Amino acid sequence: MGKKVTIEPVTRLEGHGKIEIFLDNFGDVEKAFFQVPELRGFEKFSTGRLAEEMPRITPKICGVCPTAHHMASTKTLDDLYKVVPPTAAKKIRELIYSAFMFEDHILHFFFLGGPDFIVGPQASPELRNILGVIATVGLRTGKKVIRIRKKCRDIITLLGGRVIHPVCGLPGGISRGVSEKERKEILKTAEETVEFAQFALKAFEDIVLKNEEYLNLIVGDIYKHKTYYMGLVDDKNRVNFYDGDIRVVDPSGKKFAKFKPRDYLDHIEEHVEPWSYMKFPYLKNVGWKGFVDGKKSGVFRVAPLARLNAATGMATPLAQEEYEKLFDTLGKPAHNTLAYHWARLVEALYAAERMKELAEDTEITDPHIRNFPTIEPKEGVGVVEAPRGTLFHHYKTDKRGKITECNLIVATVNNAAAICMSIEKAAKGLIKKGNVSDGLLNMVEMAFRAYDPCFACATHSLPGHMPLQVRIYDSLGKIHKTVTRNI
Amino acid sequence: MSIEFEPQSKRLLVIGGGVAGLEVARNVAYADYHVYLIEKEPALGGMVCRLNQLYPEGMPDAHTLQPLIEEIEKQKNIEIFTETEMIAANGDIGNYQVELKQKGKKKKILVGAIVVATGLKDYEIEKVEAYGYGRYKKVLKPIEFEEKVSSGEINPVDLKSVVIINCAGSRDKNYLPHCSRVCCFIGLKEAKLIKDKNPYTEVYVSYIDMRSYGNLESFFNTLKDIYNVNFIRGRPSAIEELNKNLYVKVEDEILGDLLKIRADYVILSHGYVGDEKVLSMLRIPLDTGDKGKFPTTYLNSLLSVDSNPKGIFVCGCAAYSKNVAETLIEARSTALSAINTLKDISIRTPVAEINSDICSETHCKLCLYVCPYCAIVQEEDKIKVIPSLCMGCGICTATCPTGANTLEGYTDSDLFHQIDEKVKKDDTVAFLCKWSAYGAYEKWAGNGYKNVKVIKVPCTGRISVGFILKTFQKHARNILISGCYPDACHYNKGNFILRKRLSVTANLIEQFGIPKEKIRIEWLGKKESGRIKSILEEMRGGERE
Amino acid sequence: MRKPKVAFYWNASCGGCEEAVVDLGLDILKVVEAVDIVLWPVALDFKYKHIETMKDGEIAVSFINGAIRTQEQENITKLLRRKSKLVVAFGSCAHLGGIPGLANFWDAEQIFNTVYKSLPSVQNPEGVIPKTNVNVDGYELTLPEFYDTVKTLDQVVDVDYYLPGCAPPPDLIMGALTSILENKLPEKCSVFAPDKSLCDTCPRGENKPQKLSIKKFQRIHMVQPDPRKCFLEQGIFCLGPATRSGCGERCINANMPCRGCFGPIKGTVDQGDKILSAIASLAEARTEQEEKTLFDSLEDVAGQSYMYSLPSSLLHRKRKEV
Repeated sequence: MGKKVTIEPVTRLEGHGKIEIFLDNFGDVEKAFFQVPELRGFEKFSTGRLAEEMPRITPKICGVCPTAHHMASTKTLDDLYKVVPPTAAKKIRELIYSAFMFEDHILHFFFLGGPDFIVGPQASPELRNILGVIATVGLRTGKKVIRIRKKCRDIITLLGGRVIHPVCGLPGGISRGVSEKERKEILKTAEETVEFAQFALKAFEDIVLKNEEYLNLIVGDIYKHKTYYMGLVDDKNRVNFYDGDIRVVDPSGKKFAKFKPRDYLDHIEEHVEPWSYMKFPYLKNVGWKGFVDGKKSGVFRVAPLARLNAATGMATPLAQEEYEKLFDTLGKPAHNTLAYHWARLVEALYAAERMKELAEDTEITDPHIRNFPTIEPKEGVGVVEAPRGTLFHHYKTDKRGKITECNLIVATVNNAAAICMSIEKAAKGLIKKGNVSDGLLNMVEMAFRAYDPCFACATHSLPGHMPLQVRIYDSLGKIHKTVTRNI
Repeated sequence: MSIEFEPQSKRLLVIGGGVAGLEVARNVAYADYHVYLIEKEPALGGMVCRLNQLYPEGMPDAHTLQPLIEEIEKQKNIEIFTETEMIAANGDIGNYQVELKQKGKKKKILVGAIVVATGLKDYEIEKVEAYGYGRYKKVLKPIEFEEKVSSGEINPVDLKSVVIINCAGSRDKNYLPHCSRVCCFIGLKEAKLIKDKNPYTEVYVSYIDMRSYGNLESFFNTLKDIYNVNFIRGRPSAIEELNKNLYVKVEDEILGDLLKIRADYVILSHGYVGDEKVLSMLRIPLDTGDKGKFPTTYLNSLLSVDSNPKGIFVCGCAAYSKNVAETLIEARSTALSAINTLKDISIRTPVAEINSDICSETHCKLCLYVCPYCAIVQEEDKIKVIPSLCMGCGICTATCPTGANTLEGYTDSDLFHQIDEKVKKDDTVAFLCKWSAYGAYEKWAGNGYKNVKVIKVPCTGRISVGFILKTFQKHARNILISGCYPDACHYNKGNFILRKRLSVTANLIEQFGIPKEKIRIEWLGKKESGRIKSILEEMRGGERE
Repeated sequence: MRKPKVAFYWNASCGGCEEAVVDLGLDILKVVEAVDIVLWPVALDFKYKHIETMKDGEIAVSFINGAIRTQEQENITKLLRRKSKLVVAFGSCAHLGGIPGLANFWDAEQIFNTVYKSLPSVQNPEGVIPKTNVNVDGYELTLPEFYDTVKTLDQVVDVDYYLPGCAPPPDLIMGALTSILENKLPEKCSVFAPDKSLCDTCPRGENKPQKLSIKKFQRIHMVQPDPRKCFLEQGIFCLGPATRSGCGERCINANMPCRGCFGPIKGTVDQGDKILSAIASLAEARTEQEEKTLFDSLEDVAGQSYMYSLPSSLLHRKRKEV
């Protein structure tokens, strides 16, 4: 056995993310493991709870995308009680959701993952963060980002009660409605978001796409995986964040499956490894073949790029244009991990347009926002697209609506296997003959960060680095070399 | 704890210038206390002065009322206000600010204690529509009949037949559910009144039960056997008018006959009710059961005349209907209580206190909803405990969700500390109320178990869910909660409230994996030492010292 | 003058508390200027070794969010405690245990059996479960130990102050930061929020009725609550009376009842005790049978009463089966 390289970032998934890289005797990468050392056990401790509390319990899985859990949970309750919300309630829910998707994507692009590009991976560490972004795009823009994000979060606070962990979802409706005055305010903000999303895409084009070096990075092989792709689509197979059926395409882009949320167990299974607390979902009908990509492996990917791959278009006109542009450049399906950043902006534009559509619809001020359950509950499934991927909530209850079983497949987790693979691939491509360079660390990080694994694994330290320590052991177990950054 | 208390006034207010109020005023003034006596009519005397005759003998004015009034008018420290009513009252024992209204003019007085002697209040017999009071001119109330006889408007010599309906509208859940005690003999009195003036008038008395206690039994027999009054056992169904004659329809239950009796006059001996208006103004809780809005006897210790924390006494027919002799006797003992109170006005301790730094006041007020004594009130935007009313049961303290409400000697901190210090793993912990279970335990305690730890509480109503949880936190084996029998709680409902709290605690601890059988609740009385011993033996599994 | 050193750290947390700090918006920049942030995994550089080599007490204040449920979290928390003058428990999870605290109705074995074996989407015929030490094809891998019981921050280290809420609202965060930086500190172990219950600021408190009694408990999904009336009056379980105020009644204003994320009021320890003692006292039932039916309609009473505070409650966790 050769040497072991440990990369221990402290920024996390649901806690730490830990990377262990094992070298062979030639100093090349043999194997890499991405371990998640955190578990809280929501699937277990939700049992015994009252079903109607789940939309207030499950958002605590993630404080950045609580709205995703809140909506998935609320939809699960709709299914549990077989109660259909009034149209106004549905539209309000989707309005909240669109505002959320927009602000979250913008946060990620400007503060978290985006700096990789906007400032450039070769730029000095001190600049690869929001400050560097502001230096590149200007302070005015920087403030605009903060402001537009706050406005969207204010909408969620208004309609959902709070923005960190909204509370308004109920089976068959929502707890409070929208007044005409509020609708008009929301519409104003929605119009601003459409403008901003277009601006962001233009910035991406100018700064990234027109820069050959970056473009090569995006289309290069180190960050490429040919996997299946999954996303929620509407009845015309267009991307939809809030509702629809789940569509899966194979690595060549051909439709592989399309199923209703209730049938997810016929299509998705989870694999367990003893070295990580996180599970690894894969396509049941292809099978678990290990951490490999390709048509024969059940590994699939979710989140922006995957959603765009799995769909055949966008439901709003401006986003559709951008969608076509992306695939004209990269080909469809696009397998380039770094293209996630681009796809994220296309989705932000869709979210903004959708928000505007819904805010223009006066039906959302209808006071009828609740339909009440009438039947005894038994089982329900609710699916939404969280910013970081398809989110499945599945509850079984007793007759009184107390949870007896809770199964959650949480967005990023769908990408777990892919993340492992991305890291291993990047490591293999960059670590040769025992040479571990500082550049390596950045590049490995980038593979990881593109997925924006449900919080700050994608973050940048403000001065520009994720803290990393790489320890290389010789075959006797003694430390041969230590490369550190910001430790 | 010492409550800073300085009574502002040692004067007495007597509301009502009838025979009860007069007698109280006389006795209290005689003990050198200043009395305000208010009466809403222009003259003193109340009901008694309207009566021509008292049973069994005596002329009201001359024998009873007149000397009384004369004496009072002589007293220098009695201020009399006729045509005066109380319109508002605020404050507490030793410091009642009362607003009076006399012929449109307002006046404020400050008193230390109050006696309510507002007298007999008629039940609205017109509510019994079948009897036609108010419709038929010749259907009368007893006092009306007596007054008309006294004035000469009615001459019994002219009367051929009179029907007296005892228990008119009373003991009837559709009208007045309770028995007013005096109306039986009032009906008999009217019978005698008529027969004395004209033995040939046919007098019928319909009744359900004849509540003729004491001397009334022989009176009743005399009327029946010697005066030839006809007694019909049955409740008349209706009174009808036909060709200017009144007919009373009644079934004689003993003979089984349906009668229709023609009458010149019908006298309805109706029941009596409490004066809700005055009692509510003074915040005296009314009996909500079958007693017709009289003040509750149990709460506020009105029954125990020598310990009245509020300094408000209800005397005479205002407390419950009674005859003149009984009224006078009660008035004298009320006067003595009032005197003792005025002599030494103080507040009972311990009382509950509310910390306004923590209390959410009128936005919460959960304690106000549970106090059995209505001792917690809302004053503008604050919630206050009225110290004189507080009996120190701790029901409110255990209800308070913020810890703002404390009870000296039995604070959360005191009791949690006791549990922390005393309880060891596998102990049995007994929460015992000081009135019953603790006494029973103490009697036997010399032979008690060492693994039984006792926590004394003023009432089981002081026990909150937290004490149970704390006890289990210390890994006690089981818990006994023991207090007075339901319906016999010293504080009226402490044990009921505790039982409700335990009901939810049982569900709660099951979810924590603690079987609910580990909490045992037993009601017992102070003398039941043997029983508490065997309960605890059982809970220790028979283990001895 | 040297800028005070500040650390932000997270244990078993959802990241909402970090978001709350980000939500301070431009205000946070003022703070960033005034201090030297030595540790903030989310946004700033952090230096583990640097922390280890610091002198004890060198960090002026550490804000720690998240509950503690793995060995690693406990270790780093203790490290930070040694190196910090002040430790502030930030958010419900650090303060009370939070939603992850609900896991205290179970133990590690039960959680693992469900999460890794019995759930319907899990395909694990060999019953593999994560291990603290495992050898995979010759590769040695480790994971931190997962505890049976979730602990609050103060059950592991001494805590100086608490910032409550899930997540703490921006105004309270700024207030706390300002107090600390200007050294205008309240007494030790204070909570940076008002001392009164939620009822104090709840708009529905203006309309409390003369009499209030509960005849039946309603489930929130089966009724349309009247937005002007107190929830308790409508038979809807609301933890407001036993919960500290300061959150701005965000949930109440969305017509949803309080679930107690701000924790118990000053001087009280166990929210379940306080709310249930109060609510039970208000229940209206004439017979023992009616009582039982009424309280049976308050379902999952432990989960409802301790939704955020189970680890900090008097009983801490469900008794393990013997």
